[in-house]
Amino acid sequence: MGPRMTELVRTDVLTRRYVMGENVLSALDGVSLSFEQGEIAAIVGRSGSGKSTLLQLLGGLDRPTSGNVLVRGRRLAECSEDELALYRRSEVGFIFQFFNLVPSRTALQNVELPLVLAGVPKSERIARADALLERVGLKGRREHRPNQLSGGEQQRVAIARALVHDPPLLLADEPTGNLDSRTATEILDLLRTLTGKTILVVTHDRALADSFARRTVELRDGKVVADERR
Amino acid sequence: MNVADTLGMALGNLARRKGRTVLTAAGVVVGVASLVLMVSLGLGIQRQVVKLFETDESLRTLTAHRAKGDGGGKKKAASFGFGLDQIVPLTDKDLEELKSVPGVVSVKPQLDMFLRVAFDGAATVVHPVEGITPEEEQRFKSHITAGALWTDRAERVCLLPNAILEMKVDLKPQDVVGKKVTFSGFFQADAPKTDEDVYTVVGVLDDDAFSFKGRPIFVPMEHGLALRERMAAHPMLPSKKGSYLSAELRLADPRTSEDVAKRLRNLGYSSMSTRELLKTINIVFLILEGFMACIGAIGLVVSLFGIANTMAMAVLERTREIGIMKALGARNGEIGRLFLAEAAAIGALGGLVGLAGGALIGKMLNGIAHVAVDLPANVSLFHVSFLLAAGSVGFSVIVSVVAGWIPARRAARMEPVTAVRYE
Repeated sequence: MGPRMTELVRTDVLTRRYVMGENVLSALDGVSLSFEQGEIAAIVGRSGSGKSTLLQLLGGLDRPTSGNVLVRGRRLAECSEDELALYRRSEVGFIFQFFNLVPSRTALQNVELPLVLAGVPKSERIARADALLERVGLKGRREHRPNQLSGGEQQRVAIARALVHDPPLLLADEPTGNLDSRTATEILDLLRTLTGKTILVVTHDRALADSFARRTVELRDGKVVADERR
Repeated sequence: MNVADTLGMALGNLARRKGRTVLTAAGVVVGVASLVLMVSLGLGIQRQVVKLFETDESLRTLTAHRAKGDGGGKKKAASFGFGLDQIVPLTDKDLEELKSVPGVVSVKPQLDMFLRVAFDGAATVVHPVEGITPEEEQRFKSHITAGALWTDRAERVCLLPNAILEMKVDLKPQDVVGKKVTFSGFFQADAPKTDEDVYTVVGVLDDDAFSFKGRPIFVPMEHGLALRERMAAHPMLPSKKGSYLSAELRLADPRTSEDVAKRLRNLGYSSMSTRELLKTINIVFLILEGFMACIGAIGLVVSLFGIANTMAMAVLERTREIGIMKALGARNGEIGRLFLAEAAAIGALGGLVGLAGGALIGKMLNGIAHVAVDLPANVSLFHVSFLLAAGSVGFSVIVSVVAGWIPARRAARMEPVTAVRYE
């Protein structure tokens, strides 16, 4: 455990169960973890181990069955839907396996979307979106729509979008899962340049996790089975 | 998300699916066009009718009579029509009393006389004849379009309304001046004619000289009373001097007509001011227009289902987009408002085009009516008022928002995690 001063996110006996007909599926079972400000960690495990569920709970996309997620003193389990939306808007940047860009919007329009939601004036949000597109190396592609971009380019746009509102927490769910190995390396290199942010990357690829993060949390059947730091 | 961004995004989403947007809006266009056409017809006719009544003369005069059971005290309601047997004739004493009512300038008996009028060498028509008192002469002077007012009331002279020439006798105003007309009783067509019945036309009066109650031929009052005694004898109607069906009152100020009518009713007379009559007419038209609006609105209500369907489809198609926006921090209300704005924009687009279409069809029908039935050029059968224009577009927006309500709510309540998982 790192010093309490710099803790950004903590989970308290976090549990998430899904009711499927007569069966109760325990996706996450009493997970207690703490992540510091600026920490880069990988969450590994097989498919169905609960790692994506953990990420969704951390990002306020889903609610725990019991337990809680605490982010800078905010107790997500007790938040209203609107409060969760505002939490996602200000504290979290999401990066998904399938990029999840809005197909009808250009690269620039996708990147500025979080700022549109936050009510940032147009000139300012275009300036900020442009700056981030330049940072991820897509300056010349700002008017391209997602279907005119390669997978790697789409993920760069998604990263720019996740960063544009400068959130302290970056959550990536299999960010390289849909990319070839060379592009995957590029994307991970890009993520590594983002110092100061807490970056949690979910992956099933142990080798990738080891090369990327100094801390690896392993989940199995909804429980933490390993939490290693190197 | 602010209003401008919500609207911008909504319009952008509609613009991307032009075909579907246009087809959905087309339903609204038809609905609003039919609504506008129906109601504007009602409004146009109402305007013509009101114009007919709302002349200065109509507002400035009142007709008073006395009905059985009116004998003083308060009358329950103003009324215009009676059976003749219900009327108690007015006497000269009554006329004096009417003249003393505050706000009344002058009173004259109504002759209520229909006579056969034989134009020298031309048609014979049946037309009302009324008298002009010496005090009134000045007023009529300014309405003479051909000829001049008589110089001697003792002579047998008359003034013709221009309308009688236009509608019943094919003569020009300047040609009719100086011609002789012969009056005879409506029921005494075969009675022998005497020189007493022959009058000289000295002038022609324009339409503004008359109230909506009629455009009679005018003779000096003394001659009128004499004609009435000789020719209008009828078992049920008073015809003797000092016995009249009704009296016409001129008011000092047309705005006081309702008050004066009330005073008359308190004195036991029956009277309804033009203003009161107009109120009743306007209520009747309001009901008529409301009915027409309901018929016109059926189309609009039908288009509601088209909008609901389009919006439901849009929500399904954009499940993922909704999820992405929610993951990025869009609140339920913001997603809901985005879809409502899209529905409202379809309604506004359809409403504006429908309004233009309805107004245009009205104009075309008006043009056809002018040619087909020889409608006077200043008469318009269709009238699109500002209230109708704003109301129909506003109504179509409201209908669209109602139609988009359930799909928008479904979009707003979508779970972000299921929406994002969707691939």
